[in-house]
Amino acid sequence: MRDGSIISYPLMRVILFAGAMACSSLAMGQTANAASGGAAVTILRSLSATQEESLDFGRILPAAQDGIVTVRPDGGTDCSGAMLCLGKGKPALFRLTGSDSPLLVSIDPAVAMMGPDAASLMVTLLPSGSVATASPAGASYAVGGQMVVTAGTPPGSYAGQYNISFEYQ
Amino acid sequence: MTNKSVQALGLTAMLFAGAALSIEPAHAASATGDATVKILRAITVTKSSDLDFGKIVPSAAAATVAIAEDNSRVCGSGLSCFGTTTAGAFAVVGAANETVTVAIDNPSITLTDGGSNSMAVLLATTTSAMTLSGTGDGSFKVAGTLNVGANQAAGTYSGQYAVSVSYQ
Repeated sequence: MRDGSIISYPLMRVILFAGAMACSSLAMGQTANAASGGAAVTILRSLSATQEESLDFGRILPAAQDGIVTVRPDGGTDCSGAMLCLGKGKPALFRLTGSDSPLLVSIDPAVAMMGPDAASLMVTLLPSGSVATASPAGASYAVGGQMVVTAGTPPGSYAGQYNISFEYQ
Repeated sequence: MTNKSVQALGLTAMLFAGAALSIEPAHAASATGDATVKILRAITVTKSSDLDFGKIVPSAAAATVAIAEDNSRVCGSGLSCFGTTTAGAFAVVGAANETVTVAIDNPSITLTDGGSNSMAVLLATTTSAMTLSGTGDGSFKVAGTLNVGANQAAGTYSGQYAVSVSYQ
């Protein structure tokens, strides 16, 4: 939304009129002179970001060798090595509500997911891009991830959290 | 009081109301994201008991002996069956609360006496899938139907079969 407007009130009109008179009187002693100024403002909607879907790597059966599992922001998944990836992983989805304006994305890509007995898995987040766009109805922004699953990774459920920030540019 | 004054007062009142509700428009927003994965343990399948048809005295006509999953036996016409019978049984250990599928790799096998004599067996299980317990445990049984030939040669017959358990 880039249209702006100036609302004039009676007091402002008086001041502007007085200013115009002063300029006119100064100009009278010189050659004719004229100038115009522009004014603009962009009013933005308040911005909000809400996680609608969490990043899920699905279920993984480690193999004798290390493997890499990747969940891309577009929903595609890769499972390298001999390990077995079950239950299709899915990227995180955030709903961005605000104006149709570019947003700067800030995210720390390193996340530790904690599992049983203090075991952990390191995830490298794969955000859709460094710039996002919000919309009044809410626009989606996806975050994928990639991690190495070593042969000796203890079985169990792992979970971690990360922060992501969006700011109008 | 003019209409404009009234409007100005109204605007002031709205501003105060807004301040009281702490409505703060945001030019930036943060969200917390969650990341999850479940690492599964490799499935192990261990035989708990062999499928045992017991002892059979054949007759002049071919007949069958069936062992059900509850270890019960149905002895075919003309045969004499005795001795203890057991269904095949397997213990499964895997990831807690996961659903696994069960399959008999070779449901038709042959028992032999080590020589030239043999009998055919058809294997079956009613467990095609199951959900492992909270500790990752499960079990299933295998029933069998033995085809005893007419005047089947005496001896001890044996054979092997394989089962597979997989995560869904």
